Amino acid sequence: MKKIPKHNIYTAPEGYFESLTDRVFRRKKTQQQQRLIVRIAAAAVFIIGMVLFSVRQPGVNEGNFQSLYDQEVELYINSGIWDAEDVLLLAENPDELLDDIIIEEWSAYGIDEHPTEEEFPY
Amino acid sequence: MISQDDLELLELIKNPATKDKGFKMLMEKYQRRVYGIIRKIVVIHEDADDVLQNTFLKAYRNIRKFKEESSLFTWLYRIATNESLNFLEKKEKYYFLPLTDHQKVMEDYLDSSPYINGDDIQRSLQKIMLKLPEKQRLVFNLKYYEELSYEEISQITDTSIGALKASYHHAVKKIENHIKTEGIQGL
Repeated sequence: MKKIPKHNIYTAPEGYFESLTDRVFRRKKTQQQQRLIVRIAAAAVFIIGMVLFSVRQPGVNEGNFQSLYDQEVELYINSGIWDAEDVLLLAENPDELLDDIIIEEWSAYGIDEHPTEEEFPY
Repeated sequence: MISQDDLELLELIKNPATKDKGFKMLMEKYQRRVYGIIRKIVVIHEDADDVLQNTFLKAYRNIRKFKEESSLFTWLYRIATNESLNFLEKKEKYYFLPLTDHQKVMEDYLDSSPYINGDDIQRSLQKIMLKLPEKQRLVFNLKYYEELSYEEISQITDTSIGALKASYHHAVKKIENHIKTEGIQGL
């Protein structure tokens, strides 16, 4: 080991050390700017995320959705894919719907669905 | 432990009005020695430049954490060696470049770079040293080339003196064996 030379074989380009401090301070400035940009971008992403989240809350576009749904049901009925029985089967309250239809039809003929005793001719 | 010159530098750096000026003076004082140890670990000048700049930026940001229990130079060496080893580790981890391949890149650099000023024997010796594990190579460089004491190396590497002595001993044996097997003339 005593024969192993201790001479440093690594050299730097001419003028390297003279400009090093300036380059380090330039890099410091660049890193500070990059950190600032990252923070602004993170804040922007957070704000956009919050806005999107609040816009997509249920109830905001309920009116549009119901309108589209009604249009689609009408299309199915008009094109003959669904008939009256299908619609009644799909409905949540078929008995109420039938009652409403009967009242509507009977009222057209001037007949009360539940006549009182006095109204009966006997 | 800490020299009067370094204390004066630290006074300048601790004052916000003179921080940049003080730090530039610190850099001018230590840049060549810190570059030297980084370069011995990462070999390639461009890599050493990158690691050196990051070392000083880290020192700038953390200078308030310096406890004055060790010398400023030991503290800078500690940052520099950590940065250098992390740099080599990242080469393997993030650039999908196996360390053995990077070792080949460093070996080739020793033969081809204009920033290498040594004869065939010296270049061959550096190539042998590249075969050592990174930390063993670091200990060998700090002890043999930088001529630091085991106490100083212990502070820099955060390793016990016993472990350092063992590591240095193993490194010397491996280098001697390589010199014998590769038959390097002149050694």
